[in-house]
Amino acid sequence: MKIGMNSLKNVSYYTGNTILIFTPLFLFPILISLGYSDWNSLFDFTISMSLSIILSVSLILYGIQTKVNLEGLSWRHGLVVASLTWIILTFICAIPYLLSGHSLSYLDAIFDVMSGFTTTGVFLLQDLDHIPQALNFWRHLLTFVGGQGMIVLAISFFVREMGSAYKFYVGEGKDIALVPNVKGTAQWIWKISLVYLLIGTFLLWLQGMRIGLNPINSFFHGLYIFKAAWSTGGFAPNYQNILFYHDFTYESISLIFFIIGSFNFGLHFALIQGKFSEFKKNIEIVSFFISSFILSVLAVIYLNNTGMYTNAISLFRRVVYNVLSAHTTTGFGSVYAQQFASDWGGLGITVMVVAMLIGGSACSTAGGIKGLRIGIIFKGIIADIQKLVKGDKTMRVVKYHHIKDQILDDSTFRSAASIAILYIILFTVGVILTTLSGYSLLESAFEVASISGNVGLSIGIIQASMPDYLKIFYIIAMYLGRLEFISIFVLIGTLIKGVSKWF
Amino acid sequence: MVLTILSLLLTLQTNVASINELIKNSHEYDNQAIIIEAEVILEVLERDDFAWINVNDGSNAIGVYLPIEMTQELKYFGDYNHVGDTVRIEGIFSRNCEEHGGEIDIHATSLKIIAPGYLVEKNVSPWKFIGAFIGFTLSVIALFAYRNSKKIKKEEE
Repeated sequence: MKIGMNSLKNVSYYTGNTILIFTPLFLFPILISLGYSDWNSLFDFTISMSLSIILSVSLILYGIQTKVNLEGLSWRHGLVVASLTWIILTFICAIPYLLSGHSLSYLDAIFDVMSGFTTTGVFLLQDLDHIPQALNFWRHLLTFVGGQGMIVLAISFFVREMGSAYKFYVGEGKDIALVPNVKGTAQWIWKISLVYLLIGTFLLWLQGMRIGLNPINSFFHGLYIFKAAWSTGGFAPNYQNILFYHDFTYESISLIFFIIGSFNFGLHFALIQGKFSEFKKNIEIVSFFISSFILSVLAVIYLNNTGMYTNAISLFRRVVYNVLSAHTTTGFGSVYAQQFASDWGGLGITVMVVAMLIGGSACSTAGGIKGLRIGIIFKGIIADIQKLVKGDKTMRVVKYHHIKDQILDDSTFRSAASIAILYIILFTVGVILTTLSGYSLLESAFEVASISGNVGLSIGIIQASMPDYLKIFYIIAMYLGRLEFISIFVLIGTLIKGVSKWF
Repeated sequence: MVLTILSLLLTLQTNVASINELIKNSHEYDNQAIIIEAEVILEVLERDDFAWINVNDGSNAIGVYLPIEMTQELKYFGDYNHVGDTVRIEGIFSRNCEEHGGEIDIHATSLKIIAPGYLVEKNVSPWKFIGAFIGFTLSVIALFAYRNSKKIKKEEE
C-alpha cells in the first residue's frame, strides 16, 4: 500500500512538473492581448494561466516528499504521466476558448483544444473571422506544440538528463532516438522545428504581402499557416482556411511545409548530418511517395473524367493539394466541405479516406496509421507470400531501411500490425456511430477517417450542432489516434483497477 | 399600392442567395448571375487592377473578385475589433473558375455598401478582472510554496 501511494505521488509529481513547464506558453497570448489593448483576452488568459500554475504546483507538492529518482519509474508510470498530462492540459487550455464567448460550451472548447493538440484541425469555434488575435495565436500555438509534443517540450527543459524520461517520451507516440540521450533528442526536435518556423514564417510573410495583406496581418497569417502546416494541423486564422488567400504560390509554400512536416524527425536529423541517401532509401519515404502518387493519380483521373476539374492547374490546386493534405494528415482544404460531398463522388471520397487512414511518418507531427507501419506490413506480407510460393524452409532474413538497415522480425511486424488493427477498429466503431446518427456511410467514413487520422478535413458533419455523444467520441478518437492507443490503454487500465488498489 | 411594394420587396429579397446555398447548390448556380449580401472580412487583397475581397454572410464565406476601383468605398473590414461593411454584391458565380485554378468564386459586376461597418466597443467584465486578480495572487503564493518546498527537500537530502 505504501509503495502504491508512492507511485501515485510520483505520477502526480511528474505530471505537475510537465504542466508547469508548459504554463509559460500562456505568456504569449497575454503579451499579444497587451499589444492589442485587448483586456478581455488579457484577463481570460491570466485566469487560465493562474489555474494552470495552481493545479501544477498542487500536483507537485502532493508528490514532492516521495519523489524518487526518475530512473526508478516504471513504463506504466511514464505512459500514465504522458496520457494524464494531455488530458489535464486539454481541460486547462480550453478555458480561454470558453471565456472568449466564441465556444458555445466547455465541451466544444475541449473539442477544439484536443483538435489543436492532436494536430487534427477541425473546430467548433463560432464566428472565427471575429475572434481575438490572442485566441487565434493560442489555437496555432497549441497545434504547433502538440505536433512536437508536450512531453517533448517538458523533457527539453528538464534540468538533468534522465534516462527514464524515455518512458514519458514513448508515451506520447514517439520512439526515435536522434542522439543517445532523450533530452538531447527532444531538444533536437525543437531545434529542427524552430529553424523551419523562421524560414516558413518569413516566406509566407513575404508572399502574404505580395498578395495584398498588410505587413502585420501578413506576419500573423504567415506564422499561423506555417505552424498549422508544419504540425500537419490544418488550422487557419479565417473561416475559409487556405481558400482565404486565393493564391497558388501561397498554397504551394504551405504544401511544401506540410509535406516536410509529415516526415520523420529521424529523417530530418539524418539530412542535417549529410546522409542524403536516407531520403531515397527510407521505407517511409518510399511508402509515402508510392501511395501519394497512386492516390493522386486515381483522384485526378476520376475528377477529370467527371468534368469537375478540367485543366492542369485546377487539378493540382483542387485535387492533388487536397489528397496530399489528407495523406500528410494536415487538413488544409482548398475546396469547401460541401464540395467533397457533392462533387467528389464515391471514388474521390474513398481515395481521401484511404489517404487519411495511411497518414504521414512515424515520429513526425503527422497522424494516421503511418507510412512506416504500412511499409513494414506490406514487406512482411510479401515476404510470407514469397516464402509460401517458393516452399522455402530455410530462414530468410527480411530487411528494411529506416535510418539504418533493420531486420523485419516477427515482433516488429506484430507491433506494426497491432497499431494498424487498432486504428481500423477505431475507424469502424466511429463510422458505425456516425452512421447511426443519421449520416450517410461515405460521409461518415470521410469524417471519422479525418478524426481518427488527426487530419482535419471535413465533409460537413462536424458542427457545433452535432450530438454531444459524437463530439465526445471524436475527442476520444483524436486522443487515441495521436497517442497511438497504448499509453491511453494503460491509463484506462489503471483507472479500472482502481487507483488505490493498483498503487 | 402597399401590396405591390411588398411583393416587389419580396421578389428582390428572394434574389439574394446565402453563400451556403450557392456552395451547396453550386451546379444550379454555376455561371449564373447572383446577388449576395455579406460582411467584408479583414482587408482587400489587391492584384494589379483587380482585387479579392472575402465576404461572410453568417452561413459561409466566399472570395469575390472585382475591379479594384469597386473597393474604394470600403472603409470597415471585419475582425475582432470591427464589424465590416455589409455589401450587396451582384456578379457571376462559378463552381470551378477556370481563371482562378478551379476555385469557387464570384466575379462581381457591382458592389454597394448597404450597412456601413463600425468599431465594436468591448466591455470588460468586472468579474473577469476580479477572477484574474485573485488567480494571479494565488498563483504567486503557489509558486512561493513550490520554491520553499523544493528548498526544504534539498536541505533534507
